[in-house]
Amino acid sequence: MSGPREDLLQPTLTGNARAAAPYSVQTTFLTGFFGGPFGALAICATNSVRLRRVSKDVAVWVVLLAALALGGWLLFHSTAGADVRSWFTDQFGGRAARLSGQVSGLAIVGIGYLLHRKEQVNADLMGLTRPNGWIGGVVCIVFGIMLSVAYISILME
Amino acid sequence: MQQVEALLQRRRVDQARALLKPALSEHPEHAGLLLQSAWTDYLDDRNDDALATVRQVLLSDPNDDSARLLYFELLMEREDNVDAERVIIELLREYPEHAHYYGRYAQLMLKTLNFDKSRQLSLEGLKYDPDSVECLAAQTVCDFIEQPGKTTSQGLQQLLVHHPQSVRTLLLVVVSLEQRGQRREALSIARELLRAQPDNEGIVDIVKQLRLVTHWSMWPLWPVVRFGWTGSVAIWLIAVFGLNALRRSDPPLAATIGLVVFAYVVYSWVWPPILKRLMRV
Repeated sequence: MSGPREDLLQPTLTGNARAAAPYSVQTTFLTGFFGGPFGALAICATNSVRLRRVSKDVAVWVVLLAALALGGWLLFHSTAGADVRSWFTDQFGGRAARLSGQVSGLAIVGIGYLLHRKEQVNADLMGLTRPNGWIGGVVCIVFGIMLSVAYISILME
Repeated sequence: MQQVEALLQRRRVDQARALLKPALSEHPEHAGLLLQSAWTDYLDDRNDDALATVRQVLLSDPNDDSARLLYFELLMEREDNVDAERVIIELLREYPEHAHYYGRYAQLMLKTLNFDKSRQLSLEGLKYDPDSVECLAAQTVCDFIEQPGKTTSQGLQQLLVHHPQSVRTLLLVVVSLEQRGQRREALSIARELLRAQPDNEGIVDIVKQLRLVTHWSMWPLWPVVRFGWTGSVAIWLIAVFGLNALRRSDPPLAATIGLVVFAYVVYSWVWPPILKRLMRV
């Protein structure tokens, strides 16, 4: 019988390259819901860093950030965007802005879950200790809300 | 020593300790007795004592395989994963056809979220021993990670054929059933396991969790229990858009349903933790 594959006997867990358990699905979901799209991006990007997946995920986060920036700009500086805003406000009244933030935040969390699904299932099955969701979640929510307010005020100038 | 060995294989820790005590007081430096004492402590969750003893054994005989394997297990328990990997790689370099070591290394890789390497290691180990319980268990967990609840795991099939009585096999069956939404069936197997190992905290937690989600008062929360956060999002979207449409045609009915939805959300947040506290295994 042939010997073992040499590549399997090379250490994987070197000093700085060790993955850590991601924030739980519950934390990312609630952060997306309350922190909007920027909060969702922040917690998902944090998970990418914890999982040492930044090089794999960075393109997705950059595209989503660009889509948010462009979508926001079009919403406030194009005729079609004005129509969409008018319809949404007509449908949902004063809740329209909050609702659109929640829906886009949850959509980003969904994309993040698809990217990190295996790691999330792995962490659950192996009973890995998750980071404190209150600290990470609240920080990302506050960051997300502040960034959303700043971005909307810039767009409305 | 053979008697102690046999007792340890059956996990009869107290009896093994009782046999070891007089022998160790007579021969306190005996490496074999010390190692058995370390294994006894490890099986009894006295990991600090086990680590101190196994280090003592390794000082006198750094090449003892059993001591090195125990050292690896203890390092993994302490989450000293870098050192644990170093020890298991050294063992594999000396015993490249030892399937058990591949299985334990695969387990370490699962604990550190390296499931691709875990699968490769378990497949490599199965080349040398197709019935290795450690390699088959790691392969099964990899199957669960890649396609939860969708396929029948080949690893689990093999475990059921070759190790049908193993606690490891039955725990993986419980996980498989739970992933497929067959929670009552999972609970009945988990209860049998608990009867066999009433002190196993991991099994106690599984039974508690399964009892919680199969309790009759949880049936209104079925979409959330079955589909997790996806179910929660679906309920929220239906409530928001459905109520908004209804508000235009029948505002009083929309207000009533809105209250029901609010009560449902409160119930989903408040009741499960209360039920968990009320429940005893």
